[in-house]
Amino acid sequence: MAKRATTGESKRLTDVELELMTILWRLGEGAVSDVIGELPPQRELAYTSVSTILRILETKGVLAARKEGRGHIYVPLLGKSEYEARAVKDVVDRVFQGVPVAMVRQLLDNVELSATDLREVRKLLDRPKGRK
Amino acid sequence: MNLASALSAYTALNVAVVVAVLGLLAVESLRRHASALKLLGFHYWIAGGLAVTALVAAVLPAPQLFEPSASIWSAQEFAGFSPPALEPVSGYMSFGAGATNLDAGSVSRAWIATVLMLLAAGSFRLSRDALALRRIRRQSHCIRRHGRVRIWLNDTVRTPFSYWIPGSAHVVLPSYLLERGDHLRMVLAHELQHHRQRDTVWLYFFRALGWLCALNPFAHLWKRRLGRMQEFACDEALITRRGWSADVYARCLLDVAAREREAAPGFRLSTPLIRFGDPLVLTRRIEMMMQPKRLTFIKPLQMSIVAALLALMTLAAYAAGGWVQDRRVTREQAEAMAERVSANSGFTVVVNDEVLHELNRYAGTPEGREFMRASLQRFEGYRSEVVASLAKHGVPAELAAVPLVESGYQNLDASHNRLSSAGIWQFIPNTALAFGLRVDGQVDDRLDAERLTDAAGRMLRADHLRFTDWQLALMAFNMGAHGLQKAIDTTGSRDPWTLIRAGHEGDRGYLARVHAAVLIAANPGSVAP
Repeated sequence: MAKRATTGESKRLTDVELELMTILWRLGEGAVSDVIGELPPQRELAYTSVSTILRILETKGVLAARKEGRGHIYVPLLGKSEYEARAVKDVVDRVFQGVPVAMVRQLLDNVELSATDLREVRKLLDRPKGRK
Repeated sequence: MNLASALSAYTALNVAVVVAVLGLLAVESLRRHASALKLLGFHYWIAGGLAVTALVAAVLPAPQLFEPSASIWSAQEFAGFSPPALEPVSGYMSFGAGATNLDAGSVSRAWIATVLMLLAAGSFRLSRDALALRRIRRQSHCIRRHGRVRIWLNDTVRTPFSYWIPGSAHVVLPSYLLERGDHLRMVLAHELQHHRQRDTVWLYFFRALGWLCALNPFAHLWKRRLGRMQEFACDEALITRRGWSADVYARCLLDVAAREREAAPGFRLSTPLIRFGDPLVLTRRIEMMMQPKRLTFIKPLQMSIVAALLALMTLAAYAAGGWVQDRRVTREQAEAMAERVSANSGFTVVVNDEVLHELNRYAGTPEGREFMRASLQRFEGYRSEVVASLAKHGVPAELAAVPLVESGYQNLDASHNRLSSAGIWQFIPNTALAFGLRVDGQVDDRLDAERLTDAAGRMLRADHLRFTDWQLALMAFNMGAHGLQKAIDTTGSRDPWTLIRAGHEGDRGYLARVHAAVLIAANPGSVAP
């Protein structure tokens, strides 16, 4: 119990953390300056802030750091789809009281889906069982 | 320390807190635009004074009502005084367990129950806070360590706060602040200023005080006022000393407070730690920031205000010492006590409200009982001589109780009294001279208890001859025959209690005190521990 809270296994990411992780997922790996370079120009996030956030993500077990020159190169340990899966499960648990159908209904009712999207969904549903 | 004296000390503490809060409020309102940093200093000085006084009072023995005597004339008969000897004779002095009225037993049970409840509530809150704090700590990431200061970031906390534990100072910041570097710097400086002001250390004192005086609204008022003052002082320090723009700083405050409002309920500490953007005081804080330069106090003025307030607190606490009456003597009990006296005496004891009040001051409070017990023990050394001497002059033996009130049967020299009265009967020099005693640089006959008692017997006899009433004679003994005669002429009454109620008496409550002492001397069991 005590362990889980610190290792990041069940940890949700904050908005900024997710923002930075999205960049790192796209880059594969990167230093603080690489991450800042990918931020939109109007985003005012100081170098020290980014560095702090990345270090926190490292202690959360989401990133691994490797020393290179004077700085660190950060590598995601948590995959994008792994995080997405966890986030969806979390939403189902917290918002839909663990009833996935309720979420799907909301999704279909309230989110605009194109014909292609719906075809994709059907294909996923028809997939053989035993696989995710 | 028995229960009653603990209770007495507790009352004194509460009274001191009331005086402290009223004094601090007065200082704040007299100097409306005073610097918050200075006012905070007042709070801490007074709190420190209170803590020191409480500690000293707890360590030192209870103050004596009279100075210990320099020399005791006849010390050979000290032993063999057993106060409860009279108790078995009749059942009326039922002070102990099983008494009918508000007795010590039921009072103490009620108090023990209250204390247990306070203890339970206090430890519950303390452990709840400790748990919540541990939870926050476990989810936080230390981002900086500098000496004893540690700075943490936390995703769940919405309001920055600080706390201190012996050896280390902590600041916990919500992680959203990372997105606003300027706000982060301000909030951090603010929180560090709390540590610098020692607010986080004083927090423990005020929590303890709030718990200890849980039933005292003034203790809570103090805690609340102080909490605000700490914030005002921090704001002021950052704006005036660091030259921050009040405008920018206020915006930062508002932003943090707005974030706090979004906070999910249920993740808060029950008692506020030192927190940054408390929405409750936000408006006032911003108003304070926008005010022009604040007035300060010069050091001597500040110190004299603190000293005066501390003196007032001590006085009030001391005056409150006799408030706790752990045994109440009822009128019936007092009347039963009186029956033991009047049966074989020319002096009739009256039991009225005044006498009952004084009786309860002596027999109803731990301090009073202790004083009376010691006095009665000294009285044993003088008893035979004093009674014989009074009898020689035809004075009722009961009036041997007068020195109990005058000196507690201590042979005090003139230095103990501002009127230079001395001896067990506390004669002033003029009276002593009038009754043929020698009082000069070499000899003070008043310290010869035998001679002084003889003079007292003659004086009481003379007063009785003049006023033909022992109660009036006692009043004359205290205020002088001339003064009493004037009082009788003015009021047209010869009833001593009518005179007293009209304000004609020497020492306040003197006659009632003598009555109470007579009752106690005849019933020493009433002042048993």
